[in-house]
Amino acid sequence: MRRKPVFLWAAVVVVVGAFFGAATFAIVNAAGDGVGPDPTIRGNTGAFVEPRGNEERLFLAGSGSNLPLTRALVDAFVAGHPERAKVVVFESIGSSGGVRAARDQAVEIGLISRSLREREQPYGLQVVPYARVAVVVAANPSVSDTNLTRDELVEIYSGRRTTWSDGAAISVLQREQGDSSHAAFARVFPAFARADAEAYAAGRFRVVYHDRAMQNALFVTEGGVGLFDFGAVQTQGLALRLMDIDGVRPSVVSIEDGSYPFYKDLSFVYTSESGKRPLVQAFLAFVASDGGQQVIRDGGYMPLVGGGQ
Amino acid sequence: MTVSAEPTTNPTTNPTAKEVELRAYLAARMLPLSLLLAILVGCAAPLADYVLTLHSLRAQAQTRAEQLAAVIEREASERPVLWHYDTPKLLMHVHANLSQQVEVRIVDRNGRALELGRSSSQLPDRLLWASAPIKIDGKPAGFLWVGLQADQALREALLLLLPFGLLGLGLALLVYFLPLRAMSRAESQIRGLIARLHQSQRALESFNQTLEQQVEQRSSELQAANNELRQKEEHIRTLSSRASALQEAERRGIARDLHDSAGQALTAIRINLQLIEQMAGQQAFVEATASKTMAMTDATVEEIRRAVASLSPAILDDFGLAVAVRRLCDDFGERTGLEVAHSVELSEEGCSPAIETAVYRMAQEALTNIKRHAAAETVEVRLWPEQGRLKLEVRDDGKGVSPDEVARATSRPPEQGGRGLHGMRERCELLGGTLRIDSEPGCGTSVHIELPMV
Ligand SMILES: Nc1ncnc2c1ncn2[C@@H]1O[C@H](COP(=O)(O)OP(=O)(O)OP(=O)(O)O)[C@@H](O)[C@H]1O
Ligand SMILES: [Mg+2]
Repeated sequence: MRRKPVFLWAAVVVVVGAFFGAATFAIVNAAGDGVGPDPTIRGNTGAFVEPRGNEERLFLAGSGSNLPLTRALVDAFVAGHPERAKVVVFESIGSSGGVRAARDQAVEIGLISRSLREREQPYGLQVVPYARVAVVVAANPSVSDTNLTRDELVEIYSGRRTTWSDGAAISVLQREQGDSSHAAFARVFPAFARADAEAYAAGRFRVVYHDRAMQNALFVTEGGVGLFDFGAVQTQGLALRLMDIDGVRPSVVSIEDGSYPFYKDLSFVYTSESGKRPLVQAFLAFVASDGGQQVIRDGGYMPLVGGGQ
Repeated sequence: MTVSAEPTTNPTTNPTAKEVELRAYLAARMLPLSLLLAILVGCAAPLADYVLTLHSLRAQAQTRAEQLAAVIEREASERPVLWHYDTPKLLMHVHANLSQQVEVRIVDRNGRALELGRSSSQLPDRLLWASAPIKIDGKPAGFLWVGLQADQALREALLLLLPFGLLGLGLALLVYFLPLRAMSRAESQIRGLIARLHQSQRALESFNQTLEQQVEQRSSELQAANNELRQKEEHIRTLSSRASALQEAERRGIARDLHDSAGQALTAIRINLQLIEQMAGQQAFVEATASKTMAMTDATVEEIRRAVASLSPAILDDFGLAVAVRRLCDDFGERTGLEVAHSVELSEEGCSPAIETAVYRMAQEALTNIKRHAAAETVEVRLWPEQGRLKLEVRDDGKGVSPDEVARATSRPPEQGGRGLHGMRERCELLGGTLRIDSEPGCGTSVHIELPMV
């Protein structure tokens, strides 16, 4: 019998091995080492801003909707107690950010413009609603219209209506989904909620992520329209055009009597540990005081302390 | 033939095995090569596609990471202390606008992962990662990682594997089977050639065999013919010897008759004539006639005696060969006056009559030739047995004869000249003997005769 071509087989095996070796090298090279982010601490339970022991301070952060009123309250609080200078209201980090920051005690008080979500319940935070604010359809000062029906609102957000009554183009400014203003409308006006969600999914309009950004956008966008807080307009004396909805003008009174149905509640959240801090207790006491209540009312908000908690 | 027959018998079984091996040999070498071809053709394109897709995915991930890092940086710069808590919301909505399935992680400067609030339930285990730094106020605050799923690329490559695998397989089959088919065609031709070679080899072998058989047959036939010839020769010889014996017997009969009847009668006539002569002595004429008649009768008697003697040497019957030859020599010497020395050593009379007669006659002829041609003074005659054969030698010191003459005399036909020597040779040969004549002119002649005893 003739010998089997052992060397040929060996050569073939070597070539195939080399081929697949090269291929593997190329794949690994192309795919990278496959190593992704490798955090030394997983699960993120630690705070990113360390609590400073017993140092007297009051940090507040959270939803942008809370900021105008909270700043007014803090200003009034600090004005009465000049020695307590260590009180800071940070830029908007959203309700979710506020909850987490409060949980981590990165801030003493979190600011939320919605109720706690289910997964936020286990954090064991105390929630103190302190104001209710009307959510308004605000427009660029150039817009001449003053009233919108619910149907018109749906037409605008669903893209069917694109001009104001004077023929100027409508430019819708949207907030991200899950935003508290959106939620305020969705609660009582499902048709609008659907149109808004659809427009968001389609990427039909410009989306802004913070109240401050919305405020700026409304001022700079010709024919712009978006959901905004009545209290923010009132507190800061903004010259935005606020639409009546079906002829009802948004105001503290129209919220209180229930004629204007679009509103949201603003709350403080804090851990029981933070709640024991004297400065926090002092601040909460101030908000509940007549002075605090007056500041709320003056800002165009409906006070809730006393009714809630 | 025997040399070539050995190697041809052994490989007769081998060629078929070798033919099969030729194709198997090629097949064994084509198989790995075809396999190699199938693997290379089948896998090269899908692998290349996979690698390229991975490359582009990684580039995409890198771009995406840089874009997202830029967005985060912009927002974080407004809230440098608490940017961690704002980022999740931002990312969630950035995500919502991304068409692709993207995984984003952010790790801060200290290696802590940000809680991004996205459902980490569907965490794919194999992602292509790329990262970009997040800087706040020009200082690195963390890294943003983007992970893209490579499953799609793998699925695409696997889909490509199907057509290319089939292509590779097809090519491999072509490369494998085309040469094999050609080889088997060539092989069948070779097989045909080998078969024809074997056929002619067998034909050659069988031809050889028949040739040998024929040669054998022919030589045995020749042998048979030879034997037959020898038998015939033997037969002729016995026949001729029987004929010469018969002739001899007849001669002796005639001689006896002549001697017994005519001789007796003539003798009686002579005695009568003698009586007549004595009684008519006075009468001169009668006397003279009777005397004349007597002389005539004597002459006739002498003549008849001589004839009888010449017809058949009766002396052989009466005394045997030895005595006959001695007396022949004595008579010859007496008659010619030559000195004849003879030695006859033949003791027993074991010879056949035909041999005896032939020896006697040949001695007679040799002596006669000496008297007639040799002019010799002495003659020597010898007769003796030697190793079962009878030998006769007649030697003289006469003038001799040239060998040419002898050859001519012994072989010439009887019509021309003397036939003595020729007759001697014939007699010898008829009885299975030999004749030799040694002679040179001036040196005498000797005749040698050798005959079988019986
Ligand atoms: N003894 C001898 N010596 C010398 N010459 C001889 C002798 N015998 C024979 N020859 C020669 O050989 C010749 C042949 O002899 P051969 O006996 O055959 O014939 P022939 O004697 O002449 O005749 P034929 O014998 O027939 O009467 C003779 O003629 C003679 O010349
Ligand atoms: Mg003679």
